[in-house]
Amino acid sequence: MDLAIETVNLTKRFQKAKSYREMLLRPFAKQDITALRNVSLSVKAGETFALVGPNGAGKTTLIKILSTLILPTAGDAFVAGHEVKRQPAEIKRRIGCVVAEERSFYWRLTGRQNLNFFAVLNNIPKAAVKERVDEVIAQVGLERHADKAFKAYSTGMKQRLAIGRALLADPEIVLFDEPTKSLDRPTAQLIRGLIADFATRMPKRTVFFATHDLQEAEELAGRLALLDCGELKACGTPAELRRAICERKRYTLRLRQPNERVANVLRQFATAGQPAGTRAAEGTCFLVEITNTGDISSVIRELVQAGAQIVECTPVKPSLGEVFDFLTRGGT
Amino acid sequence: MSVVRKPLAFISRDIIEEASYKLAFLMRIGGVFLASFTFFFLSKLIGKGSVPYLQPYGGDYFSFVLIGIAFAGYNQMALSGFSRRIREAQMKGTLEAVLLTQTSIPTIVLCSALYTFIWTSFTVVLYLLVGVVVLGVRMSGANLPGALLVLVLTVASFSGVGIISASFVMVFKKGDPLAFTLTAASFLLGGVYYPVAVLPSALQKISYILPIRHSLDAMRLCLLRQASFKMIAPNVIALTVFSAILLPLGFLCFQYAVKRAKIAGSLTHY
Repeated sequence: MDLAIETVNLTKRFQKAKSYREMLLRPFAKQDITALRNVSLSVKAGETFALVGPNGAGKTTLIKILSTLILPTAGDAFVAGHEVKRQPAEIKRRIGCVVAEERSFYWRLTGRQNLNFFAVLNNIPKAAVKERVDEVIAQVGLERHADKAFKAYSTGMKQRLAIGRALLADPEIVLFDEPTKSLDRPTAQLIRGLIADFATRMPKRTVFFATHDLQEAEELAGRLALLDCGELKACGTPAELRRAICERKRYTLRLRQPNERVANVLRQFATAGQPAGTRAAEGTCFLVEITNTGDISSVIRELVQAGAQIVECTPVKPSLGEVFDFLTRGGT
Repeated sequence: MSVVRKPLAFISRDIIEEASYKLAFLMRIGGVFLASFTFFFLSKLIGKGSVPYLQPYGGDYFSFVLIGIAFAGYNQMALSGFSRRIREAQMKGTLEAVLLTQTSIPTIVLCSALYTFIWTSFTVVLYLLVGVVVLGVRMSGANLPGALLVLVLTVASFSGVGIISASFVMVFKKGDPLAFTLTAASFLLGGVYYPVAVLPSALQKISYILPIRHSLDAMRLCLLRQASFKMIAPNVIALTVFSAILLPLGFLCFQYAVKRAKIAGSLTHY
């Protein structure tokens, strides 16, 4: 199995900035902030992989380590088989990186001039620069705007140009750091389309992206890693992650005219507080959570014995948000 | 040709950017004329009062100071040019994008300052043209190959200091004690506005450790006194030693600074 990215017990600690008072009183004391703690994950070549976590989870730190802009404190990280600490030049030849930073371009140059500049810096042969720049401009749909000054671009256009820049050198691995951050819904959808299109058209290329948007992660990625406070909480396909909370199966029961005895039975089986009830034309809906040790058939049996008329019983698939909450809040 | 592609890309980028700020562009050209005329009239005031000090350089204060301010530009360019470009890129947010490319960090640092070097050279030529054509400075028979050699060594030795200075910016972001101290010392002791000979002897001795002193001395001898290579040899040797020590030292410092910034995660902070 070819691995595009691999981290082994990757740890990053940053030194905390000192106040003037601390500089005077404890000039040699060091205070660390741990951004990543023993993160081990592997991404196969050709995979679209999402790194999911809230702000401050350590996503950007991990992306910056993989792109060789930050050195890890401990552990190892490999990109396309090359070690980030010792082979940064080899890695930079193989990656494209999209940072969510619109200031990373020269505002007084046009989009095309910007791409020409970065093409030269990425060692694209002189004869191929024009063709390659035209190709990526078309790929990100900026043909009509390529010769406008970058400062006149909308936020979405800037992000499309950033994607174009990352694709210039036809990289094996593309790293996206929050590719849809600060974008409105249609533009975010457009960017997601570009990423999906890239992953589909270039199946051997690896896409590794960081996002706090679980829906986006599920839409684009085959596998995800959940990161919280610098720790890897879980890693797998969305289905695998959902199974992580399968000990808490949830069902929606629709009952017709439930009586007090029925409500008591429901209270008995609900594991998290009172069962939620909503009235609908066909009956009253109840959300019932049972643990692995429980069984929905026994709940139904007891409800029927209590006089319930069950219209419908549907298992509820947990959202990735719920999976994330479960994993990051210690399963409460 | 591939060797010059990256430097040309940086120069082209900077020309487009700088030329788009039209007022600043024109004001800088105007500044050359303003400084030239200011010192021209100042030289009239000084008259022949300081001739003994100026004798080694031909005796004319205006010619002396014109070369001083013109070539001190290289000193300032090298001392602050590298660090200023790195700081600008940090502030603009473009440094991260450039560092992510397949271009080595030393190439990025050197190429970033190329436009400033070209601009400085342009202003030097402008100073000399204004001096010679408009204000009557005589430079006939100047040792131009010698001046060129001195110029190359000047840029090399000053750049070494400039890259060390950029290392400070890489780590501390703002506040560069080296550039501050050396700029002040260069203007005070380097013989930009007055001959080093007017300084007390202790300060004259200190001035020998400043590359600018040797650079300006040699440049004045080449352009104003038609000095031979033999006459400028001590200055050329001093500048060669400075270059041989300061350039490699500059790159070592910068490499260390980048590593520190990568450990601190502050490579692109400002």
